[in-house]
Amino acid sequence: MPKILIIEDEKNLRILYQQDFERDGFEVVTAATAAEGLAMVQDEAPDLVVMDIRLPGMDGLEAMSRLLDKNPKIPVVLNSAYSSYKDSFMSWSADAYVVKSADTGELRARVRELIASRADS
Amino acid sequence: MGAITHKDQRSKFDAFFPGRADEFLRMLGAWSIPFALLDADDAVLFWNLGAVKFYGLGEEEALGKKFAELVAEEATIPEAPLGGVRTRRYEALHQSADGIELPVMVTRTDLPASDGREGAFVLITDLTESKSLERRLARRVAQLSIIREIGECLQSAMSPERILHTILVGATASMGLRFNRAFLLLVDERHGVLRGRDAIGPADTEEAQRIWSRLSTGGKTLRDLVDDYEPLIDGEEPRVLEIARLLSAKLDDETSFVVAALNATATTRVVDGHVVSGDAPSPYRIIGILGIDAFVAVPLTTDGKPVGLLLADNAITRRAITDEDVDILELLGLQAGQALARAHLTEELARQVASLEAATRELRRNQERVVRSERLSAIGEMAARVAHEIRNPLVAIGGFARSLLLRPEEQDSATREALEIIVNEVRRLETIVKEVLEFSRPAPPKIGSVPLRRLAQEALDLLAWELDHVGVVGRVEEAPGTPEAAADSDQIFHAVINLLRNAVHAMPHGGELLVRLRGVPYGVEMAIVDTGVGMSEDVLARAQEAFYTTKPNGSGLGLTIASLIARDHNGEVRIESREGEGTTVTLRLPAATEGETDAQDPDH
Repeated sequence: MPKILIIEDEKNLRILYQQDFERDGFEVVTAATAAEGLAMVQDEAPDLVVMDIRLPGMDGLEAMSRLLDKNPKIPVVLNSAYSSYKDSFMSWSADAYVVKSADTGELRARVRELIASRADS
Repeated sequence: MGAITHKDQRSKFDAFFPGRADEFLRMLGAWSIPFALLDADDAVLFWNLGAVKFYGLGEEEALGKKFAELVAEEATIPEAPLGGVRTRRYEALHQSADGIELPVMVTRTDLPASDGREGAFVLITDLTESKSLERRLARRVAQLSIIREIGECLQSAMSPERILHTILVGATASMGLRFNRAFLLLVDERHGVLRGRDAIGPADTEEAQRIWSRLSTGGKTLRDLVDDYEPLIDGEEPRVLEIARLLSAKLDDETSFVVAALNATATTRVVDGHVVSGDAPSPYRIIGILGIDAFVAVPLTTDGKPVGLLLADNAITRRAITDEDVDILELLGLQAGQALARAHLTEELARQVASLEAATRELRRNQERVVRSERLSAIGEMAARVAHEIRNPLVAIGGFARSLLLRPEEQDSATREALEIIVNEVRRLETIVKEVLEFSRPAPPKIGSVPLRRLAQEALDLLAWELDHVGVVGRVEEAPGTPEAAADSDQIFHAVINLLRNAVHAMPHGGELLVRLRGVPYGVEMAIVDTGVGMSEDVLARAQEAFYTTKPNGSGLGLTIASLIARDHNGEVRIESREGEGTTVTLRLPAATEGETDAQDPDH
């Protein structure tokens, strides 16, 4: 069962995403801060990371570049309330950029695609 | 004292003429001043040479006749005692040598004769000269008061037209200067012309009858006449106006009489076809136009600079123009010059006030624009913050509601309906949030050459489903020669989508959506015309405000975003609407220059 790490500071969103992805058949682990998330990448070895950009303590983009330094192959989906980061070149290293929506359909679709393409390779 | 002096003089007199009364009388008899000695019955005893000449009556005709009858005396001013009791003086009219009544002053001193009866010594002074002086003085006083009245009229005249009329009425009115006709020529510097601007007076005797009979409807002041001034005579433009226009001349025409008269330092007078004062060229042409060979031309100056020419004649009555007439016309000219200067200043002032008002309006409009854009940017910033804060909770609310809907076995139909409402309302809120965030992130447009026809067609194609859904037929029309727009294609596309959506929303029961393109000076216009519900004036006034909406699901940002995008392009969005008839939203953008067109076109 593919494992997904959700880095999200909003507790309710963590619960929502956990429920949705579990329903889609994933194993889900969650972190509330960038530091916690980075540690979990080490410990849990997730197949994919879904992360917010604005996180307490450390900027999400900064956290992502550290994460990718350690594990360049792990797919990262940026999930942000800000569409403005879409044009930031830092975001380009992410595999997908999804603007947060109550309709989690797009987020889940991108995650499924990325997991599937990883499984193929 | 008086008695002593009298006695003293008497003795001196006696020293001159001791017992020589005859000699004395002979001497007096040769005087040119008329006098007579009368007896107690007023019969003439003595009649001197002066009297003979003055009355044209010889001594033999006069002697023994009653004096008053002889001279056909008609007292005008009753006698008044003068000096002593014996001398009286009165004014009268006496019949003179050529049968004309002349004004005289009679000084009559009663003399005691040797027979104890009283006689009289009568001295006659011809008042003709002094009377005429008196008349001239009175006339001059009257004229000065006219000039004063004209001056007052000019002072209160607010418009240049009224000033012209006052000058002309003053020059011609019967209580004014009594010229038959007057013409005003004014310097038009811009065109280099001395132009016949206005005139007053009859063109011929017949017209004179009509005008003067109308003017002489008594008791009117000069001001009344100016008030009543009617430039048309019996509904037609008077012929004098035509004459005035014919008098016009080019300012650089050295052969022109009127230009020379304008630049002269004093009045130019023409009598019998010759220039008698001033050194203007031949007035031949002017005489031809005026139809009279005697007229006066007074230059009007302000600050020493010639600004016009006042020309007057007596073309109808042919009365000779006197020195007095000229003097008074010059006075009028002086006032006219000042009044015209004042009018010029007033006009200049009005023009400056108008331009100041325009500048103030422009400033206010810019200020409003600034305030509006500041408010918009403040709102935008605020909105962006709020939107971000709202987005996460919305995701949670909507997300869980959707989650629940995915487990239909757990809810009854009422709960499902409630969950669907939550999902829909969250979707609407998310749309607002999205638009707010777009709106609060203005990016400078990347200008290229945009073919609006293609862009509009693409936008209609994208919205095809929405159009079909409500039965709206969309169509693009392009005027020949419409240029491409200098614009950021993506941003304009976004703006056009917003505007088209608004138009479709205004036609819930179908209609026609026309996108009309045409070139305008330096720009290109896209008019989006719908046949929808239109807007009331109130709604129209608020239509471009951020967050203002009349739609249940609207964010109130579509038009605002389109306006902001247009503004970023140095363009604008205008709305015209009639309630119940439809709305036309016009997006104006700068046109692409040839260079931009070429850059995009690989064939060139």
